[in-house]
Amino acid sequence: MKKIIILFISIFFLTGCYDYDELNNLAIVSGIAIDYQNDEFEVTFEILQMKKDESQSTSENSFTISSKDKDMAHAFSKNANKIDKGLYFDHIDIVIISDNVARNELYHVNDYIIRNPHIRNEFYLVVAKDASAKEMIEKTSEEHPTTSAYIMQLLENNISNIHASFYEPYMQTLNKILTSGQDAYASAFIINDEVIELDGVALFQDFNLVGYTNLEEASLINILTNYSSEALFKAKCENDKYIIIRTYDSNTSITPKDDKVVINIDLKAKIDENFCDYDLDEPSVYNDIEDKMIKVIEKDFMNVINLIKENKSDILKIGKKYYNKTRKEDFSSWLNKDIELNVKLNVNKKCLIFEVDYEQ
Amino acid sequence: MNSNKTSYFLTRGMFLGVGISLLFKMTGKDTYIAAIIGLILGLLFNLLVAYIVSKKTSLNELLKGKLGIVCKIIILLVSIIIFMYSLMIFAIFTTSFLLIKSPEIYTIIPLVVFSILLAFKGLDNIKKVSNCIFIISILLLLFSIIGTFGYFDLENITPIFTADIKSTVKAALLFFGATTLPNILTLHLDMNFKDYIKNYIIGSISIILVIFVTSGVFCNALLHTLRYPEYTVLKQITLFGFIEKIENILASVYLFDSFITCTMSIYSIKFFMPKKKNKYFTVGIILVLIYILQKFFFTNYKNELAFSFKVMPYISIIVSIILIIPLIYLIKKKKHQ
Repeated sequence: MKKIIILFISIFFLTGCYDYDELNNLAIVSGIAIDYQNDEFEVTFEILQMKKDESQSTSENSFTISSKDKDMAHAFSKNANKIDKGLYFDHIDIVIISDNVARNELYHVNDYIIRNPHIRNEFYLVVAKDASAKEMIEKTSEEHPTTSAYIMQLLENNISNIHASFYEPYMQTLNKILTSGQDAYASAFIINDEVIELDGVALFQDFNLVGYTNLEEASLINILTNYSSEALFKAKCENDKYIIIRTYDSNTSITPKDDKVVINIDLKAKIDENFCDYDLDEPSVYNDIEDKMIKVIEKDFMNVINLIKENKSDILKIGKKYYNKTRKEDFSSWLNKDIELNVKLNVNKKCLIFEVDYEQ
Repeated sequence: MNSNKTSYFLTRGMFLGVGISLLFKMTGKDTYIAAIIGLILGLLFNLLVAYIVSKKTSLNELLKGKLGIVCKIIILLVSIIIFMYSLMIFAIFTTSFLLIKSPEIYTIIPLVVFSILLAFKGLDNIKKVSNCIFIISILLLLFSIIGTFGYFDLENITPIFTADIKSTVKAALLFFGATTLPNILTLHLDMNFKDYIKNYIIGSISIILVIFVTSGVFCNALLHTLRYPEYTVLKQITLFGFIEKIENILASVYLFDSFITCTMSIYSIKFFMPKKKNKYFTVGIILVLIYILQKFFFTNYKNELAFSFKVMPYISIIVSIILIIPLIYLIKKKKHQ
């Protein structure tokens, strides 16, 4: 009898049935867009919907609901009034914030998001650059019925092309924002010809967006932070001809010195295009290419470092490194120091061809 | 297997949600240093506890005379406090992450029922269950630590020794108290000296490893901010890159700790009840305690916070020290007889 009572109690209390919800009664939120205009937050949820077509096969679809209010909590809550199902936030892939939110309101957005037990903080944060976040999340097409899934796949797959995208779980982004002497960056998107497109990265200083980079600069930043290794570099030869190399392996180290910051970048590269008169059968030619390319690479990297400096965004953790060395809480001292950049390049892959005689 | 792993769980019993986050609040990323100091301090002290546990023949024989009765009352009060505390941290944890809508009282019912069942079955069964879940606990813990190491960033824990001495000493004392107080309940067990110390060291080191890994994943500010850093860190873990959201399985190690701690405290309460109908007395006390929890703590977060963060740390340190002195005296006295 005792065992039966215990079994009975177990059924009721160990199955979590008090919190139980049928899947059919859940509105699974896959993405959130947050805008801020006229002193109001506008929160848009992208909700997944499974649809059966004529052939009875199930296809994924999505729809959005949106609400405005003076604060995040009310804007979030109001959305619940526009749907007949329980909102479920455990599968959020992407949170899109508008430029205005990123510049001025991320602090408030963050407080609500990390306090909310319903939201799993492992989503990727992205910035809508020249459009509102709502516009972006509503930009679905037949090929991409769910914007958040599209953006997430774009971020993850871009890494196998040129490494201009950057993504990490939000807790890691927050970690960087909250660490003194370190700042965060996130991928920025635009809408170009009705298509959502990666445009570079957004640089933050604490909770505030301070600037953007283009795609090329973003890939160099990824090398500087050791996030990825691929970038393209182009050098001109005589008669407007050019050679392009693609880095495929890199290692960056940043050493804080008393009077300067030393950045050493070790790169391995392959030749992507060669219209210069280089005879790639000749081993010594590779040294010439390396010498030529190092100047270009140094210039490109210095431009990016200066851009980071201008925006006072410590995405390279230099302030933290100085703090670790000196234990002085002057996290911006590196901004006044010279940068010594040492690039080591090893061009050791020629790809599949040596050279083509196009004049033949 | 002769060893008894119950004290491993008791050593860890006070850490979920309160112990670790309170330590982080005090010393931030240097918490693991404070915890190591606390372990050394605790080890010195627990040598005495181990000595008492291994030398006593039976607790009833040891706790004789006026001093014995005083000790009995203190141990009974300790058992009640630990019981309430373990239920409280279990309820806060489950209603914060797992069963958000459920009332706290619902979430503790299965824990209490199974703990009563096991406690009433006696020490042999507690030992068997402890030994079984010890292996699961260690495996899950190792998996958690290895899984989070990918997110470990040395920058998060450097530079070291940034916390002030006062905070470090306070955190070390708290670690000592939190690992020692529940171990008072091992007085009921028949354990040898080596086993006790081994369990204490393994339990403490497992907590220090969790603290160290969490400090390496989250920055100082997040360690101060998060209510459950030791759980939040588990959210990062993915298996083979595609199996995600396994944090609740991994977090069950903390629930095992609460379960054994709760069971031992119920056993201890039962032990001090009059022999006749001690089960009824125990269940009666448990019901009263649950009523108190529901009335004053589950429905009032301020009381819960004050008890967990303000009162309990002091109780754990002071009671551990106060209780051990008369016990040493009693065991020496018995030895001379």
